[in-house]
Amino acid sequence: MLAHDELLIDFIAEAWESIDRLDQGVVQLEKTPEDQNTIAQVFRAIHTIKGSSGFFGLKRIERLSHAAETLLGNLRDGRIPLSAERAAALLMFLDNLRQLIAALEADKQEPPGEDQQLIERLRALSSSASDAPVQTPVPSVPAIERQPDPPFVALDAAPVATVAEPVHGLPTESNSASRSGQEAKNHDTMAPVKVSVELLDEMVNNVSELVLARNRLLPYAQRDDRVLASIVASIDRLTLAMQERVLKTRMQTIGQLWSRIPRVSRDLALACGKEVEVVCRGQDTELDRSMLDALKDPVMHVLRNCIDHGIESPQERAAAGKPREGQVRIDARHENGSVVVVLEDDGRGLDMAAIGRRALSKGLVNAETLATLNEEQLSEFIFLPGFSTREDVTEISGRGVGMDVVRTNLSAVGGHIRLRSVWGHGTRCILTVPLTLAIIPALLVAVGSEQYAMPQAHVRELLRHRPGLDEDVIEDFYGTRVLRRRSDIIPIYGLRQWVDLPESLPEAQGSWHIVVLEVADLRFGLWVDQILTLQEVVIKPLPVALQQGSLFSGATIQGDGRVALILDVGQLARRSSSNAHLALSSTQQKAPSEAQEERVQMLLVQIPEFGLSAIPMHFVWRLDKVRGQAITHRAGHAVLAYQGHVIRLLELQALLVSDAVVSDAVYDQQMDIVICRHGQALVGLVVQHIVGMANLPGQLQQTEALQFGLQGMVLHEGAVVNVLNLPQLLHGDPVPSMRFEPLEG
Amino acid sequence: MNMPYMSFSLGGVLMGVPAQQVIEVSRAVAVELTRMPFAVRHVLGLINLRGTLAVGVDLASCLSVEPSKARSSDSALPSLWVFAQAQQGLLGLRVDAVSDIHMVAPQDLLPPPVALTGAMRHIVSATVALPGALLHVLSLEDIPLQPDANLLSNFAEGVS
Repeated sequence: MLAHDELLIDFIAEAWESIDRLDQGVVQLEKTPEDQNTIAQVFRAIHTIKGSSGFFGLKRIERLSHAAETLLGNLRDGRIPLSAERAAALLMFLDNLRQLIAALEADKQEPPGEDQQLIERLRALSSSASDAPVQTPVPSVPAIERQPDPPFVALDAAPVATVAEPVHGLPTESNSASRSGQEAKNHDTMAPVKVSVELLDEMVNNVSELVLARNRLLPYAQRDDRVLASIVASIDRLTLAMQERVLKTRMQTIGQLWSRIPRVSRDLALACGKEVEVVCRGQDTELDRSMLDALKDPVMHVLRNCIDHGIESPQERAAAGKPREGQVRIDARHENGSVVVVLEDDGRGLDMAAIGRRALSKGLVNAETLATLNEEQLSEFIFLPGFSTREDVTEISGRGVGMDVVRTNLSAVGGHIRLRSVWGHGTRCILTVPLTLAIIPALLVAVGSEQYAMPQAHVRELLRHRPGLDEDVIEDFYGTRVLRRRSDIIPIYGLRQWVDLPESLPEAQGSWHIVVLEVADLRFGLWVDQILTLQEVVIKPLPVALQQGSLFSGATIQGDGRVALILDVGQLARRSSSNAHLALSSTQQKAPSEAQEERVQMLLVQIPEFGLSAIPMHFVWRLDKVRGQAITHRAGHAVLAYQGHVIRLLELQALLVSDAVVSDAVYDQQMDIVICRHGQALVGLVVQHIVGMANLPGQLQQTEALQFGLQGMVLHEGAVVNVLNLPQLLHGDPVPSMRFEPLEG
Repeated sequence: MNMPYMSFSLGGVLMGVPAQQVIEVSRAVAVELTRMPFAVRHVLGLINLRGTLAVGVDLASCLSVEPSKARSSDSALPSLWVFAQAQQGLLGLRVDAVSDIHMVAPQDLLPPPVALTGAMRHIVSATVALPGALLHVLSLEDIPLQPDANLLSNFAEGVS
């Protein structure tokens, strides 16, 4: 019976494939009912299942398929049109079939039961109600339909053909001439060989070990033995070729995943009462099957969110001036050794205000910090476990697994997810996973006596920085070390810090070895003792207990048998900004919605000890110079009478530089003041001098909550400009505020 | 049905694990440990056991028992490791000496003595009264290996 079992496994595998194709086909037919090609494909697939199930004596599947086949046969021959009811019945048939196959897979036998109801329904629908009903369906099967026998038939000489084809009448060749040509072509190509997944996995493991063994061999080849060197060289070459090919055997196209999407989205849209068009692209994108598995649930989850929560109801959409039918675009592509999947809907987007309120009520953030968070930082909240906003923000609450699980699942395979949303215009989810899990090119670095690896896919640049010799400068920016390089500001973190080693700064003249990493649009530098080499490494998963919350995505065994941990660069990026993202985004600017870089007019002022700073112009009312004598002191505040207003003066230096000593002498001279609107009142900011106006990028380079009163920084003509957070400065100013009343009043 | 347990001694205490979980016992001359940053104290690091990663556990420190004098004074003597497969991964337990295999009937697995304190109390799942000694059966799943969550978050804040 062994052969039988194997054949059954083949049948099941094939049935799964067919069901996915069928789903797609039927949904496609709903849209284009006249598509003869698709009808024929669907018909063939069902026919194959029917034939094979007959061979295995799977009565339920056979009877069901027979009924469905009859219906399809009539559809194909144009005797009946495809109504919504017929499509629904066909989909229901597929669902039943799915259950049966699943049960068959589990128990190796068909579950007992009856499907009479569905069969009756299919039968009833097979005859057109308006036409004279055809009582006994007469299936008509063209001869060519016999051709695509399941491949396993060839493996066994058993009496297949006769058993598998028990029912059919005479073939009708009428409209299938063109198809038979196509069919013949298909049969010319060689039949693919089926290999079990386990065998492939074993092969990948073996190749992984081979790569390791090769790595150990390489140093010997550098000795003075030309024969050995040439042998090693050819082993090296063969290993590489072998590795590429074996990994390729595990590659599957993402189209497999896409094929399930039309059905899922159709059902969802129906259930939610939405009208949704889903466009999938990039179906030829290949990736490792383990990655495909890892992507499956996250993609489906995000898709569900898009349709259920993102896309509005047709009425809502019409009211908002959008087409009634919502659109979800799904795209897959390769990018730097990763697979990037983008899901984009044109729905309502995330309600950032509601997220903010929810975060506030959950005590995740205080009101002050909340005001400083940008949208990207806000959207981070929905990745927190248990951050369900179901009661008050239904747009983002998910069914089943939450977004936190999506992120966790992706992280487990070294992937990550990003989310961008524009309220009223839609949401874009970007999922990234590595191409393959088993072997990756990695950069090895050393700190102290330890070696660490990081995926090369995330490495942007390697720098050796020598203070004083380069144009680049390393600066201490309010506790965060940053590298100013060309027009970039890159925060630098010491790897030693991350791996629990004492920090040791390079000597005054020594070099800094910096690896610039980029992940999910976050760029940061990792400063290490030594940059060693690039190497193909085999990723070994960490023992389960050490996986959680770890900074390491795995480990690799090096040529000498030593273990090197592989840094989880995504984790590093996230933790380096303590969950609030550094918006050091390069790709953000590449994103189409932000192709036009927004520029904001700002006033540049000089503040002693704090440096060049910028105040957004929309806060500024007037600029003036006043003499010290015009200032009066009332209850400890400097107050200025100015054109009929009482203006409180604030010393920016005193507010921003905590231990600044502002001498009274400053008030004796003429001073530059910037008069700003603050609600109904006016506030005068005392600065050293006013530099001028400039159009600065609205996208701040550094939006971490760096310091009180500081919103971030931008580069302007090669200099770092601090952008002041005026609301925070004026609202939360530590000097008790006073009432502002016009003098006349 | 009787189940085999492998026993070993650590600090004069006889402990055992289900023999089916034991992969191998080795006195490797040079078991290279790769330090795992921010791991709990008794996680000594990662061990490469022929291509599979194992967690090296200092069982003595975990259970707060004193390892036998002989080993701690003579550092030249390589450590003895018991590698066992647990749900939470492959574990390498550093022990003083491996003793025996005992066949134990289920009814002989008694609740651990109430006098056990600290980590022993959580990790010892049953006690068997052997002639002349008590065998404490360890539940490998209950050996705490995960770094303290607080430690990690503090650390994250410290860095940023």
